Amino acid sequence: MVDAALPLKVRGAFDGLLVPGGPKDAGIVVTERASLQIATVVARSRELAAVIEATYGIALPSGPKRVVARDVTFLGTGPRTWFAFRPGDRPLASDLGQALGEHAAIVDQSDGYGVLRIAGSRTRALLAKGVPIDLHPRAFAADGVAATVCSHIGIVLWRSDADSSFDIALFRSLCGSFWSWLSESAEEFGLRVAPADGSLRPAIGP
Amino acid sequence: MRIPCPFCGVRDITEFTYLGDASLSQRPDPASPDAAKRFHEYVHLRDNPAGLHDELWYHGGGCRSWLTVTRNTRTHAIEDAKLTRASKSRAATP
Amino acid sequence: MTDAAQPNRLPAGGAIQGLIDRDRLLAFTFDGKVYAGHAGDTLASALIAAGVKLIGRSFKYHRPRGIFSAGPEEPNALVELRTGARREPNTRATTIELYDGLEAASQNRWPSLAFDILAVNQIASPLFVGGFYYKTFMWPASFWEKVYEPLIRRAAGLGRASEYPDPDRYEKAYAFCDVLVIGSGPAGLAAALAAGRSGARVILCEDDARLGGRLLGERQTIDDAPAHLFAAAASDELGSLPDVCVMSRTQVFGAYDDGVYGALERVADHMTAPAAGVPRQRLWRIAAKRCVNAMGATERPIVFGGNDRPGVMLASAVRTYLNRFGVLPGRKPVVFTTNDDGWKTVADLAAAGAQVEAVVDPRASVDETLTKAAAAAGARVLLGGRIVDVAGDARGVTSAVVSAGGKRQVFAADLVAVSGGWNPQVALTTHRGGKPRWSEALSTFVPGDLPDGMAVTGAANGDFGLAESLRGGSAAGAAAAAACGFSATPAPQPRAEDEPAAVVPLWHVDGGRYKAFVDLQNDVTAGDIALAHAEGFRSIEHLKRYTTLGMATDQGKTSNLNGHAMMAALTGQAMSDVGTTLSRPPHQPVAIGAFAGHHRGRHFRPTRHVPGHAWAIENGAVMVEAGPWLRPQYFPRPGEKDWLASVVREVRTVRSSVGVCDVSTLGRIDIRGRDAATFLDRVYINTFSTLPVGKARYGVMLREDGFVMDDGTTSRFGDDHYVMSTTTANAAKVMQHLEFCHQALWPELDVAMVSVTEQWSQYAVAGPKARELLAQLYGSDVDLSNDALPYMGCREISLRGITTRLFRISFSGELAYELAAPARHGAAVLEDLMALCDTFGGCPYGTEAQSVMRIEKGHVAGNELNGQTVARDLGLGRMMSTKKDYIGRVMADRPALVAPDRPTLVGIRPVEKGRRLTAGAHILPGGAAAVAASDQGYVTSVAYSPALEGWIGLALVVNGPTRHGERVRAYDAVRNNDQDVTICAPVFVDPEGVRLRG
Repeated sequence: MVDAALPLKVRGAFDGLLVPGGPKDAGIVVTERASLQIATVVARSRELAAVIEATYGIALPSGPKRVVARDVTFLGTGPRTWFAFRPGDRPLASDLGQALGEHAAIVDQSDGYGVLRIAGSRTRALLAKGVPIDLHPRAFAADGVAATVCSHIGIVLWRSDADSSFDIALFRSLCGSFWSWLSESAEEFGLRVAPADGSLRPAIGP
Repeated sequence: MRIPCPFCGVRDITEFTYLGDASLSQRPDPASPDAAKRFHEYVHLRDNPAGLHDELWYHGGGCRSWLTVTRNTRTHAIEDAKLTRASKSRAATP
Repeated sequence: MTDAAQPNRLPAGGAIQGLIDRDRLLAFTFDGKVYAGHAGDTLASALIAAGVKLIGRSFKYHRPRGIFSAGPEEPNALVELRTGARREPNTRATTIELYDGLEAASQNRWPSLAFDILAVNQIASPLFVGGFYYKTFMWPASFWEKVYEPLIRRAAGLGRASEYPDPDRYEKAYAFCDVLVIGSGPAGLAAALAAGRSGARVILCEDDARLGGRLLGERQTIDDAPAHLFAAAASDELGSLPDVCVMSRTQVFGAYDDGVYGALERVADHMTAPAAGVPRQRLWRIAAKRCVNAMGATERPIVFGGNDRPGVMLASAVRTYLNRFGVLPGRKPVVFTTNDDGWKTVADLAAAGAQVEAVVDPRASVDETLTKAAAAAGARVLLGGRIVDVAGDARGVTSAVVSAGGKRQVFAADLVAVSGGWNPQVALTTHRGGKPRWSEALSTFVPGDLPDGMAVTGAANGDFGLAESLRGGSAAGAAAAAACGFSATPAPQPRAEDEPAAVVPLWHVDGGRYKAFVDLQNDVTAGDIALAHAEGFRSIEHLKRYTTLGMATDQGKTSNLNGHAMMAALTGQAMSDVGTTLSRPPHQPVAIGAFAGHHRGRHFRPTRHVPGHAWAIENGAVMVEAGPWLRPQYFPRPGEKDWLASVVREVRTVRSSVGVCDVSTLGRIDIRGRDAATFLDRVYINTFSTLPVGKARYGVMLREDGFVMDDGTTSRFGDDHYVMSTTTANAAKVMQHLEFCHQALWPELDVAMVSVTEQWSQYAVAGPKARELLAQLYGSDVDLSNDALPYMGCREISLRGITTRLFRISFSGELAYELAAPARHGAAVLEDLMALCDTFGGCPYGTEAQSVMRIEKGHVAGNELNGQTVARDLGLGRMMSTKKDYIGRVMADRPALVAPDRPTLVGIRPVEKGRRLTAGAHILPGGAAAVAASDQGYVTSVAYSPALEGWIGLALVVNGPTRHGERVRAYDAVRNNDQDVTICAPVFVDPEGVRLRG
């Protein structure tokens, strides 16, 4: 029965798909980044970059690059368009909306995407099976970002840190298809699923 | 084919959708007295050059930009690709 | 030491022993019989070792055929490989790596390979000459399908495909490099080393399992050591370079625009079955800044009588079998060569212990070193000679008839090694339109215009000498790397010699008694070329279609040039004028499965799931594809005899109580900005700038040609903020259209659009109890009254701390809402809705019930928004604003689109109560004949209406609105449904709309 006193349950984008486990020496290690607040930022004025610089102390990239401002990461995904995210459950879209006002259109997308971190020694070999762009370090910089496709599924992809791992964000409805591609393609390298990082999962999760 | 997206860099053709002649970005003035004729030409009439051709491509598998691509229809060689939005803005500013 | 099981295997420790691993014995079967070979063998070399000469029967004449080559150009030795679901026809024994347990079978023979009844086709061969398809079976026409085609299909053809689904997995993958090197013969290895050492990213693709190319098949030296050791050392060095990727068992099959190459990696074809998790094959799309094409050359045979007998073999293949595989293809060979290179075969055969009977060369004189070496090997040297005929049968060659010095001599022989010269592998240079160039000096085509970024080197470029291949490859590799910004470190050139390579052209030896084959795989004879010429099919493209020369798996690799040259001789044209047929990718056969990769079966395309997907499955929904989405079609319950029973129950429940339908798949686009209202006014036919905040409005958008593109409701949440909804099917198309309008037409507008389809899950709650249900869900402090949320109102409402959006919109015609909740809570909200719904006696409903109710209400959907209708056709003409411009306005006013007799939306009901209607039926005037001239429209949608207890339909009918009450004929020839129907208004239930405002 419906109990109005309880908060609504949360289902992550990869719930029922990712089951932690797998070989220790796996060539591919996948972690769901389940704890992100996500917003799309579309510039509406030329002053946006200046306002962001004043507010966050960073230069907003005009190309497909990643910059991190304190806890908010901005990924350039298109002309005048950024994919912004922040770990935790503090609402990002409303914060950005307050900070940026009329200079940008901010749309909450925290529920619209699933995000995976793909790490391990065979990461690039795995991604070569789906991603039509060159991820060699000479071609894809450490702060590189790409809006592209993987196995016919639209993705935003970025190099997560200094190491060789990549983060991939994709529309929630496609997570099942994406996972079937990934798990099949990674089988020959060995696949380990690590527990999701952070926690959007409330105590009463499913 | 590989198309040099001005935002994303060179990308495989599978990320793009073709629309057609770049004249489609020059919508006629609907208030002009010969609007019916001009819209007929805008919607239906296309040049089909053997050689350089300006055409519209949509980077739906990438940055979602509309691009104006100059392609040699004989060789598929792409001479230029720019954001349609940017070329429109330039055209609009005297 | 000859092994009894491998009588033709050269003993270990001899002058020639091959590069196989003699410590690893592999068992295999051919036509059910067990044989043994070694690791490093191909199926062909192992069969030769075992003394098997007869491998298959030919395509048309069922002639016995053996092994002709040692590589991918093989036209004869095609076998069925593996069994059951993995059975693959027409695989070339010369490229199949031997593995333990390999099973192969000969093809195109019945009842057995040695005794083939259809070999009588040889006697009936006049029926099968060039063009036989076109003339022998012309008449009577009715015989073609029933008699001729089955007959030909049984008689001609090659192997049998597996009849089971392919059990293996295939993959597609992308690779990128500075320099792609194709081929790992001396030129390719030198190129890869030069480019790799410079630091460039290099991919080296080699079709073979082992690097080396011709270096593995010849007794040459590099730096005073056997050349295969150079290949091994180069392989090691390349493997040690971090940015060099060596891809063996990978054939580059196509050159595409902008430096993209297609390649097929045979990941697991050299084993019984792929290991777990490993694909059988992987299709690579390689984007290379530069390419060094070092694909080498293919030896060319000579056309003479009986040249298809098992035991007639390319001279270079003979050397490969000796030097690489350590097998002796014949003990009593005759060598027939037009060039110096072929003479090497004499020495190699002699060194392997064969008694070379004769070496025949059409040239009157050759370099003395050649004749001396042949004489030393004990071979008769017949200069100015040619082989006219080879006699033999299914057991192979028995003798060769040589014409020299004006007389004919017969030599007993079991092997005829043939060389007509070498043809560079030009295919990849032509895939982008380049035309090969005729070289008089080499009597063959060499690469002409090259694709941008490609250089050709070594034998592929007609540079056949070893030293020049190494030198040329190295220079090409360095140049390619330099073009990518890498400077090559100078390195000493390996020491090697260029052997003599002079050649004269000789395509065909006339005057033999036996059939002389130009194309072994397609059974095209010299006579067929003459016939094609006599009948006027003289252009080489016509010749190809008329005779089938150069078709099928080998694509004329050993036949095209001879056939074209023979035609040129008949027409008196120069080869430079004749040219060569156009070649297209793939250069070698590629399995369809490799092109599909991961995308087959349920992975054919990505499938989208709504947040409530699991709930629907758990509750027994039958799912249906809606664009890329899966949606519940209906929810059957025990005792319901068919889908219609379930759908009727769902509709009745909604109309009497309440139902919940998942509408999350509708496209949702968030539109913001100062000019958002202006923008919407320009893309919709009706006005949205006047829409108050907190209201929703139905909108229709057109294509610029005036036809309807899509419809949906758009709601205003703020002065600068709208949320548009689109149909499920058109969501992506509409987004692309809006981006076009903004970026390409009106970039000056301040408007930002973001798809939020995925952010929200959305549920229609419809029925007289909908408000009560939602009141219980939201709690008593939320006012859902008509005043607070009237029809076409929308509001953000907090649900247990979560912001939801509630829209008072109705597709069903009932009091209805759509509730949007953030996707992560979507499943929970659905579960709560359904729990409450149960308490009202309500039920979930799917797309079928939704469709029934929209037809009952006359709402248009995909069947009516079919790209051929304008707004007026659908009864939506009044929505077309006259106060503003919008996309499609001008063109929608074209005379034909405003003509009153356009087919326009109406309802129809069967005259005979209870008759079933079918969509697609044509509307004809009552009593009119069922001919196209009577056609007045067609039925777009039908449903069984529980409210009316009968079938109803929507139709587009000429002058429709003026014909309500008229009886017409609905004629559906496809579904055999012919009945009279009555035209009526297209709203069947609650035409005044009382319920939805309730």
